[in-house]
Amino acid sequence: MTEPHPAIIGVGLVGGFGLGKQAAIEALRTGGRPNGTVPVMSSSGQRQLPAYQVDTSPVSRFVAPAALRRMNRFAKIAVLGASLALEDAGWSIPLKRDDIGLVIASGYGASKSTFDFLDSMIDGEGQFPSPTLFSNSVHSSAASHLSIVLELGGPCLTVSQFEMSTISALLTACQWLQQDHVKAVLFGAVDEVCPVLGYCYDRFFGTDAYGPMEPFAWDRQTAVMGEGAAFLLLTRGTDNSNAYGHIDRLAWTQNQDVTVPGDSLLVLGADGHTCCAANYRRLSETAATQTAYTPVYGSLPGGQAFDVAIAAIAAEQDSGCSRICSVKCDANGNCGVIECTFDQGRRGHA
Amino acid sequence: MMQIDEAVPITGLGCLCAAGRSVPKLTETLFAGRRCVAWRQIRGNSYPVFQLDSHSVPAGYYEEAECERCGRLAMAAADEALIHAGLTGEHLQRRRVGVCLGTTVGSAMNNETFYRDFRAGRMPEIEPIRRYLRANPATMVAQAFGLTGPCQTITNACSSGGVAIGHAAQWVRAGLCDVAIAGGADMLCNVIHAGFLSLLVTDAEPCRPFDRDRRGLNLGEGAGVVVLESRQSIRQRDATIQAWLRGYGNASDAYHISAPEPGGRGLRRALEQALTQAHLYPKDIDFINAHGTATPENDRVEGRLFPDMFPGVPFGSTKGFTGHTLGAAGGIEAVITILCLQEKRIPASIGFHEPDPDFAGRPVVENTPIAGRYGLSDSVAFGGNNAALIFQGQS
Repeated sequence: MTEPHPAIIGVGLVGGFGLGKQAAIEALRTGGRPNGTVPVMSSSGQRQLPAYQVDTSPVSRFVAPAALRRMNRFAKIAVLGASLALEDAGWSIPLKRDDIGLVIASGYGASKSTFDFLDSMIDGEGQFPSPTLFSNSVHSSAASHLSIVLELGGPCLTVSQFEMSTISALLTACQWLQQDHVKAVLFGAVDEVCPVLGYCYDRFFGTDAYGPMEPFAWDRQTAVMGEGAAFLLLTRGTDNSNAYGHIDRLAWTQNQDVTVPGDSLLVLGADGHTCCAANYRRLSETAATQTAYTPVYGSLPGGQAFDVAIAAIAAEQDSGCSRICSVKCDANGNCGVIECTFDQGRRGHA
Repeated sequence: MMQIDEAVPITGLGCLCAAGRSVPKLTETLFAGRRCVAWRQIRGNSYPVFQLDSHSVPAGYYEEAECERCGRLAMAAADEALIHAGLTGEHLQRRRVGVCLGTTVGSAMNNETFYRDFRAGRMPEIEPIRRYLRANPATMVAQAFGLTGPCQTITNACSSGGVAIGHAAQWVRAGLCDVAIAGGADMLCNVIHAGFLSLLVTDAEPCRPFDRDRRGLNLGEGAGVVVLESRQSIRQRDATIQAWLRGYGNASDAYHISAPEPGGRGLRRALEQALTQAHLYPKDIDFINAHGTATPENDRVEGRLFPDMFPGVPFGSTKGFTGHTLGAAGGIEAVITILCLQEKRIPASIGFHEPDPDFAGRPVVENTPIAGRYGLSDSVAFGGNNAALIFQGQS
């Protein structure tokens, strides 16, 4: 990546672990675990599948009730993550700026709204379905609501590339900064759990969908579905004395081409899916130090953004490493690589 | 690495839509002024749509599950564009090739049959889910052509195709890839159609962009793709440049989840950004391919903004030929803009008859010669996302 390297000046996290940095750090200390269940109909009757789920009620702290009225759950999760990142950076909401870009990565998009819209179609046979649900069902709904709530008039992008969503979208976010299109980028990964996802987990994985997540148990399916948002507020890497650190390198590559720098902590995006385990295992064998944060937030396509965010706050609290190499693999052999350098303990106000 | 405002060469075009299954066929239809309207039954009523006829769909299209058909359309358009560019399999293997595509349906898990069974507790088979997970259009194209460069499916709703081309150009400039296949692909889908019906933004008759009596859009399907290529790659294989992408802009209205900001605030900024990147003034633009969906709100915004920003510059909408192809629209209209530069004329804005007294803009009513080199194409999307692309013809 060309100089200057984008700086991370704000982190916003929401997930099954709770809301904000302290909740994530606490989950990191305790190992993390699912905080809810999703009812699933199976051949043996209704079952409760474990899931990492977000409590969206704190969103009212950031958004006026009128603005929340037409906002779907997917967007509320995004607003929570984004608002926390801005708050963390000391930026007041609304931003009312046109020189800030907004980039959202999502594996499945507003899946609950998509199925809610289908419900309204099916329930209202012969009638028009709900226009509000339709508007909210598109993948870009979170970005749209965010741009409205934050009054962001800059460029806006939603990327949907399953497990490669974060690397693909972050490549664009960093390009915007390096090519000076914008002064800052609010970047976030967002995904949500819905009953259909629960059904798919049950059908795909059966009793293996109950966890607990064991990211290094290469031969076993241990993924537990998760939802949440991980946001990073990025600026050009100059004049940011209060930054967590910098993104040094981004790469979309093939698994066999990934090399982990010797001085970096390898943060594996291994989330208990056996279809990707061989790729992670190979990488694991090449790195001196490694970890996986997935048991903190669960299995979700945009998980790599959580890895970078958690690594940043761990470094801030002197409980992480100053250099990390985050790797997320998909079942097709693609790998997203994000290398960061953090200033340990530098912010000092965690 | 190129400069951030350097023009990016375009070496290939590919397109299929209701107006033609290839770029030459599309060109013929546009300038013949032919409309290829079909009628589709949705919930017991018949609506005009612009759909690919059975002779125009790519091989394997009907055998695929619904969501994978977007990828099929993208693959067909990419195939035409790569052939047009003269890029062989050997060329592709020796280059880092990225794929950047916009879509809506191609990323949506809205299989109605599956969901009805799920809701009813009938425990449907999960093959539709497996298909959905295989259906990412950018991935399908990358896999079909054995490409290993960056891959991005953009889901910015109706501006996705235009945004994809703008971002792919940034990849080429930044040296992330030597070649980028960029554009959009989308297909007709009853669920999406029901959504637009619910918004009351569709016309029960063939659409009438910018007309006083316009009632709304007609949906369409197809794919439009351009091949962007670095100068070095072009030099290495002595390729022909078809056109240049000179400028790109993207800005948000920050106004409403489904309606455009009435003053065109975000669209104006996107247009200004594109002009700035292209180092051009509004007077340099020779024609505009408008988003022109034929909804009252969209056309009012453009119909007011164009005469204000680009006085005297001819413009038209080609949605009357293609329908609104959603995530594909920006890609298809980029191809149309380039072919207009090559043809040195723009087609009549079909469907327009009576000027709307609410705005000053009047689209061209007949095929109109153009003398200059710069064509502009804009896209407007749900949530107030606006994109603008400026192309330069290869004179």
